Amino acid sequence: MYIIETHKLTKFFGKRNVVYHLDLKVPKGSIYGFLGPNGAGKTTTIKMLTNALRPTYGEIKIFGLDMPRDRIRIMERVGYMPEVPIAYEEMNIFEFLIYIGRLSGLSKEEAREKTKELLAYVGVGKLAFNKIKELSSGQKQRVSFAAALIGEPELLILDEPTANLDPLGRIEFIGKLIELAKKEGKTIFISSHIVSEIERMCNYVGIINQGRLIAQGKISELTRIEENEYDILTSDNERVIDFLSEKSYVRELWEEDNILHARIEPRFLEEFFLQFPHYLASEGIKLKLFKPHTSPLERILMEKFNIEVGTRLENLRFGFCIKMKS
Amino acid sequence: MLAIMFLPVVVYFFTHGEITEYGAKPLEREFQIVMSSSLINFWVSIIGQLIAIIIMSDLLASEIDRGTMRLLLVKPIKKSEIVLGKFFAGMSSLAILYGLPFLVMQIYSTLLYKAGFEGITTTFNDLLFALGVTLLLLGSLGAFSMLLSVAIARPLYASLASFAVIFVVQYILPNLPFFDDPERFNLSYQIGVLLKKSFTLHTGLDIYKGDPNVSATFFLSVIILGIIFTLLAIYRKEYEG
Ligand SMILES: Nc1ncnc2c1ncn2[C@@H]1O[C@H](COP(=O)(O)OP(=O)(O)OP(=O)(O)O)[C@@H](O)[C@H]1O
Ligand SMILES: [Mg+2]
Repeated sequence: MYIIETHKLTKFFGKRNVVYHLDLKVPKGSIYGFLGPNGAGKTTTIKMLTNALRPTYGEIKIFGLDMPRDRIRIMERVGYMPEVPIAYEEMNIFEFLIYIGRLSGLSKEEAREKTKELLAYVGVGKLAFNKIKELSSGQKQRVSFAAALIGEPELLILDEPTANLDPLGRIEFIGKLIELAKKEGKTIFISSHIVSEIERMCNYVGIINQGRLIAQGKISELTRIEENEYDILTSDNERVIDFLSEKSYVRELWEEDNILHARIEPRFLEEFFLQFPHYLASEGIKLKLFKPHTSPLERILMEKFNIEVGTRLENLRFGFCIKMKS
Repeated sequence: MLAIMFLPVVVYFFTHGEITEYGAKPLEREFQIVMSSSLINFWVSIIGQLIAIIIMSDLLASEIDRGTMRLLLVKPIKKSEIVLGKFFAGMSSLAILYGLPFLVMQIYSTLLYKAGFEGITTTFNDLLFALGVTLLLLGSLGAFSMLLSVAIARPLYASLASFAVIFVVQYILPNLPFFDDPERFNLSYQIGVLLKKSFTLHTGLDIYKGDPNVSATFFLSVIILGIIFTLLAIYRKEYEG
């Protein structure tokens, strides 16, 4: 069963089509990255999922229940974090979280307990009695995260939750989300346009562009392009360069910050994988790093947005090209 | 705002007539008279109405305006609970805002008439009745301004719009030639009609023609319709903010 399932979800603002025939399928227990460029329709979709906007047509099922008909039963189990933190600015953090806890159906005692726990968890414990309007945007975002968690939801819907966090805060946040999904079995639907972030935490993606879903599924299963570019670091890069530039299947080879980048002719990948380790072992060269140059998600994006693998090189990277073959 | 509401008490303090008879009976008559005139000339006049409109149109419009409505929508609470909760919260503030000066007026006049505890008990019904009538009238005004505030979604503009409508309905429309008794459209006039029902010792109220029951039914229906339409508007609305 899918936790979120939409069918032909569509939104027009007047004549303007912003979301079109979206068929989202978010499996239970997944961290689902909803990825798309600015203006793709992510926030609009999330506002429809949370009943703030009415779909022009299409169906939304959450936990198998109909939205908006079963809104109350759905919302008992959902935590939501809006794109821009919204709160009662005159309240202090403590009051605000207790209020949201009470609205989520907690008793006064439970709300107090949970609030204390969450204040520390999201890292605003010291500010508990500061008014929300006096907080920085990152601090507001942390409060907003706590507000999403207070009802112990099974499903979290997060709209660009890391936008205002500092680098350390981001890393912590990602760790927390992974923990929430793995340990507590929560399903997390998270929108973002930061590929690396989605990559680090999500196992499913839905890619939206101009209101249309252009790819959806497990990240590991989505790409057809096989990786043929590798980052290599060895104890003796000089000799490795000599070796590799001899090989006809190495189409390009360049060095950047001591890391070698090799692009292999896809047809001869097997040969490369056999010969290269063998060479290193026989010459006594230690292999310190060997990894695909682009991540699977980047490959999916390149494929879906028709970014040419070849053109990318000149545009995106500056390195000394040792070997160029056509 | 509470300070403004005490104005009639202050005025009474300086202007009350000379007292010839003391005791509970004359007190009740005097209390009815002073309450009636204060309600008609001040508490439910344009100033009181403005205060009610400002309070009631802020309730939902501020949630919509600040975007916090979206926080409420993702919580397991019914939209009808939101609307009714807001309405009764607003009415409670009005009850306090009016109830306190009423009470002070009661205590002060009781002291003047040296009527003691007996004076308080005899005028207590009159006090409750005055408060009920006030809330009925201002509640209908409030339900209407709540409806407008949802449509407009900005507290200030909603207050201004409600006020404009109320002003036109009370003072401008009725003066067109095809309305017979223009003053009847006035809420101050209607409070006189409603008070007549229970303030029997104050014969001066007879100048307010009309059946109190009909008026009460009318204001009650305005409240119910206002709430129903507000609810419909809340259901239909989209929350961008
Ligand atoms: N109320 C509205 N009326 C008309 N157009 C709107 C409205 N709200 C959003 N849009 C348009 O819909 C498109 C999608 O907006 P949306 O906010 O969903 O994008 P997004 O994917 O969340 O982008 P971002 O990454 O910048 O947050 C945008 O082009 C936006 O201009
Ligand atoms: Mg957005």
